[in-house]
Amino acid sequence: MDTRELPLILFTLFTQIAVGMAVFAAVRQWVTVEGPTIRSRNEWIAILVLIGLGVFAAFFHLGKPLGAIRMLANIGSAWLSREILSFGIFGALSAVTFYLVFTKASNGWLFKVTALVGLLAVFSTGMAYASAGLDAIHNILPLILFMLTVFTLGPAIASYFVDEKSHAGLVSILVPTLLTSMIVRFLVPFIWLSGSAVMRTTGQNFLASPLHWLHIVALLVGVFVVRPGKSLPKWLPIVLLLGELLGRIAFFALVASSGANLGGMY
Amino acid sequence: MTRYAFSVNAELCIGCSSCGMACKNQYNLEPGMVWRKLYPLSEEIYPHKDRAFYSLACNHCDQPACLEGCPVGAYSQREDGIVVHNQDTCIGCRNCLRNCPFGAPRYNEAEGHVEKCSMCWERIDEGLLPACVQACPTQALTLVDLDKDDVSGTVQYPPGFPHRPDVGPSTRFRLPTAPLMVRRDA
Repeated sequence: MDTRELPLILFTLFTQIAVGMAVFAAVRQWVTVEGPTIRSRNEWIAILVLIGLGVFAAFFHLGKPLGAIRMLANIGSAWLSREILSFGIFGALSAVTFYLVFTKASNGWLFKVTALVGLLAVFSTGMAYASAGLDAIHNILPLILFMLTVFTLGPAIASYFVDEKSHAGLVSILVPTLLTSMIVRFLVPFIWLSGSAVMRTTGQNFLASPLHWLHIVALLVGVFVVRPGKSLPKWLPIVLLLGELLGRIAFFALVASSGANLGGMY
Repeated sequence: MTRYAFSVNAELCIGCSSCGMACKNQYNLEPGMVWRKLYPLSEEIYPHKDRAFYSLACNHCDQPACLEGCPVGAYSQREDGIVVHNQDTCIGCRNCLRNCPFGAPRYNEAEGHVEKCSMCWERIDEGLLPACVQACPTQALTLVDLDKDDVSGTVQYPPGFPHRPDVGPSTRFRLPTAPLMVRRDA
């Protein structure tokens, strides 16, 4: 893998966990009208820390990090600019939400707006990574894969910040997400095999990669362990996080570029 | 109007790499950095003992994916179609490397920015040919004006080159013919 991609792996993963946690916090607020607690305060601290770590990591993928502020210059056509803008707004809204939770004046609408902006930010990430030069993912797939990460790791990591009673809600999100994620991630490389030469290369790269299969195994563990009516084991979010990390490394390392096949069959 | 494009005649190209070397000399490129490169056609496409080549650099597309996706607006397109990259504006996010279907933009690790072929627009504005075109000894690589020159008989998407009408590469190709076979009857 090109180690220069590592900051982007961390950026996308951390911010997607943060969005997932914000979405789950909003859903909980909506369903149970949960008052501000020490746990929810810690949850929003974790969300802010994840956003901060993600953004900090992202600076390191730039050749000229001091020019990062100029990334908003092409909002009109570049999804990368829109991604940065939307994550900026998501971070600011998360900070305000944390402040209100901290001062015990939390507002249900703010939870929902923050979660919605977070999802729009992930939508922008999905569009930014549907790169024209990467045939296999020049489509809706990055968006689907990123959303699956949001709805897998968000509730999973949030389990550390909610009481046992709220685990039923977590599980009701995790069961269908884990199953869908496993099926999608298992099938996609085989679908790539039926495409152009560059897509076939991508499919072969994934099927031959331990990263891909370990990711599937982590999801499989989740599918077997997460059961309705039972709380989430403390170790499961770690397994799922490691699985998503390996899957994200595979996403960045194994997708073949169209330009790499010049002079060959397409 | 003028619409400049490279024309690659694979029948005439002998694979000498003069084009790539002239480009490196013109811009004093870092060691290992190439803006123009020769790509031999695979045996599935050209199944002969002789080899055939495409000399490729930036294709100065009609709808450049690099320009559209650049978050800092480092790319611009001139009226004559040339896609210009501003290295001073570039912050090295490498989004254009992912977006270009032809692998034209290259990352300069030492300088922390992306680089690519500019079709030598400064030379063109002075009435000169791009360095690569001037250096080609067989005239396999030429500069054409798609609005004025006769490009009939050329191909926009030959085998061995991505079929991407969504970005509209301007480069035109003449395909290599089968080499002359001399058989000695037994």
